[in-house]
Amino acid sequence: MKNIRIFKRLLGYLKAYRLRLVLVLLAAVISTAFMVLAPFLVGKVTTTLFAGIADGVFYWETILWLLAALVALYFVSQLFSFLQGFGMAKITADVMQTIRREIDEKMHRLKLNYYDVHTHGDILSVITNDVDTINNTISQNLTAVVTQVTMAAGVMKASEKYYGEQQELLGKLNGYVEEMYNGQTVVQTFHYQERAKKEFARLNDALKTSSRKAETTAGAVSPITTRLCWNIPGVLRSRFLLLQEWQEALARQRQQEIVFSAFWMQKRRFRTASGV
Amino acid sequence: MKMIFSKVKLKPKQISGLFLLVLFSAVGQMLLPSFLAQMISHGVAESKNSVIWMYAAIMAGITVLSCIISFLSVKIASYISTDFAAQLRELVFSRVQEFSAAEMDQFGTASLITRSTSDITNVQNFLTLLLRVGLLAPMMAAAGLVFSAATGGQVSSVLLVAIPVLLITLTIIMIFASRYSIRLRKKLDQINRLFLESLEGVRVIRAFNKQKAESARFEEANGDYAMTAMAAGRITSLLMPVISVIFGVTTAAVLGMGAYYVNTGAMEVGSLVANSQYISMVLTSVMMLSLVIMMFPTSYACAKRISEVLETESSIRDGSFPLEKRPAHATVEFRHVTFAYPRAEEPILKDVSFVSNPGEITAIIGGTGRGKSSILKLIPRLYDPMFGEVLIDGVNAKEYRMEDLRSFIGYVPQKNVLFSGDIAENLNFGKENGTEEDWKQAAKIACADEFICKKKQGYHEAVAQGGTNLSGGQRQRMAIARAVMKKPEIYVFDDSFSALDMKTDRQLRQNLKESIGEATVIMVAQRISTILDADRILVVDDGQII
Repeated sequence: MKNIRIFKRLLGYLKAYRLRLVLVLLAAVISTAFMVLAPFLVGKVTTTLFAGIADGVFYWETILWLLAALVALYFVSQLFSFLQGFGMAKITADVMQTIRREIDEKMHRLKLNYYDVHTHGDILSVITNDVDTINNTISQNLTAVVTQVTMAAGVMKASEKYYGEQQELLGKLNGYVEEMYNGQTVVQTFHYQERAKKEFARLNDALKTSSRKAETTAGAVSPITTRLCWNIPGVLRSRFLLLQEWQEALARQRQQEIVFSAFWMQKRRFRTASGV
Repeated sequence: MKMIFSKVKLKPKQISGLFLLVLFSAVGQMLLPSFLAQMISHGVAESKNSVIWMYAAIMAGITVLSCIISFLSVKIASYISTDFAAQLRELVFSRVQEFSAAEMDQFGTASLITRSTSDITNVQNFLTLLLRVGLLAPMMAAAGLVFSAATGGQVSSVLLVAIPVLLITLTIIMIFASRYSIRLRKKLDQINRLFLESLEGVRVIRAFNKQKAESARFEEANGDYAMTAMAAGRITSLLMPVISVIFGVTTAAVLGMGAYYVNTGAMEVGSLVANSQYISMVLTSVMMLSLVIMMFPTSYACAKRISEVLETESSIRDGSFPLEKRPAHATVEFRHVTFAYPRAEEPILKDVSFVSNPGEITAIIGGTGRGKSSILKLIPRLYDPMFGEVLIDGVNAKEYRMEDLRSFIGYVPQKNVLFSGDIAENLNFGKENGTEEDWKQAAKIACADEFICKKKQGYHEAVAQGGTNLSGGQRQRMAIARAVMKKPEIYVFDDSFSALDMKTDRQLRQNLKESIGEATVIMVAQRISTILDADRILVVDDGQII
């Protein structure tokens, strides 16, 4: 359920670019349609060759026409493919900008105790790694997404779990490294190194196991699908997990703010009344 | 690179296993077109249905087999690369744990963090790519050329034109793309920097109500990045279409040439079809390989940065003096100590001598930047002096094992770093597996018990990274309690009372005096009241005691 909600959120970002998206999608369809014709033309060439052998006459003109058509097909198809990529680049960059802006704004509104339980490294990895991967996902070839998603759905389900886990563990590990390095003086004077190494080894091992599982499950299908599996489940889950957490924290906070501001207004009224 | 591979142990069995599997899968993939050729020549051309079905079955079998093989090779490759990364991370982290303050200063904390995290991830990704594509592509290319030559090699001369054209185009696009990617990297760093700044200063920003201004600053960098990202995206979106066109034209050329040879009778239609597949396989391999090669410089730079960390030895070496044989206890003596920070031009301490005996308090005062803290840093051997000796309990500090030396020194740094976790975990820095009894006792001495008791969770109240959810005074008291947990013989306080109010300051000093017994205390202080009851007051100016 959560996944669907997050996916909807991502679609929400794309809403503003509806017209552009339709054009991009159209370019993708045209490009694919032309590409699908290519093997058909190649087949025609072989058939003509066979026919030539059978009839004892060589159909040069037909073959040359077919080859010319093949080249033209590639050019047209790839022109539209480029147009699609060109249009998509703008959409992706804009959506990424919006997401980053929202994260930044949220950071300024979020209740302070959120920062008590998350390390800087952990939060920072949202804006670097995670936003980056959403970027990769959106900028993926749209047609590939459309055609492969259905195919990869089964594998996705499995690798999604490990992939989300992997991203979470990576964030934790990075956060731990940052903190220990920053506190090196204290770590050393309290001879905490061995304990730190032990904790690090624990996190490191967990990360290894989980990324191994993620890679193996995702790698079970073709390379293109692999890329997708790595990206889409990420979007569905871990990338937005923290965002989600922020979102929820924010909702709770808003309720408190209402109570709080009511309280403030009372107090101010009281002050004005008493002339303080 | 050499350095890394000499330290990280890869299992030769896994590598050779992977190599074999990849070889099988390359041959398997190459067999498919040749069976297709056979099917066309013997089945389709002679319209024998049974032959067609037989070849179809063989091809299906090969496909299933190569799927299994490729699954296995992915599994092995991921074992190798994740194991490699885990080992490397552990090595780097352990090495940094051993670094002294001098090496930390030399690299800088931020750079060390990058080297231990994203640099390793980058090298890992490259290794994965190398294991998956780097092994397969050359084999595919070689096998493709061999098969093509064996079944009517005339058409493969197309490759003589196609490969150079492909490589040149790839290089041109990549040069443009990498230019953008460098700019992109820089702009991303800028965004991260701003974000981290806001993150670290989130409380201050709120307090001054500067959220709008900060957001505006961020948005500027954000928009800038978006523009560059869009341009980079447009350049890279050229890549696939251009490659596809080259492939398409190549296919057309092969078919055209092949048609000529079929006409002259030099080639069968089946081999022509097989050949056009071989040639596109060779071309694919060349493309994949060149993409791997293009990624190499970045990964190499990352690997080099990691090696630099691994090659650096801590400048501070362990001694071996047994703790039991110390001639004295709770004594600190500086004998003509001169000290300069690494790469500093001037020494910060010049010929400093003093003794602090058991039960005594030595206070150090003086202006900022005159070397007060530097004196204290030499006691737990965060740095070594250039000349002279620091004697701890009558023995040169360099003679001890670092672990032993630091076990009886309670150091409270000027910058009170606390760690994320809870209050108890932070106190346990001073004593592994400390009990609630220990926490309470230490907190009482450090005057921290009253504010801890007010917390909802008491000793299990969360502490933010750096302790930013506590006030300056609370942080100082936490840092003192952490040192008290050790029950040290030598207390080293670096301006540790500055954030306390007068009353707490007095109370804390009173508590310490009662509880420390025979320990010696060396403290840097600003307030005169703090040092009034010291047994010895050293005034430091310009690195000298006056």
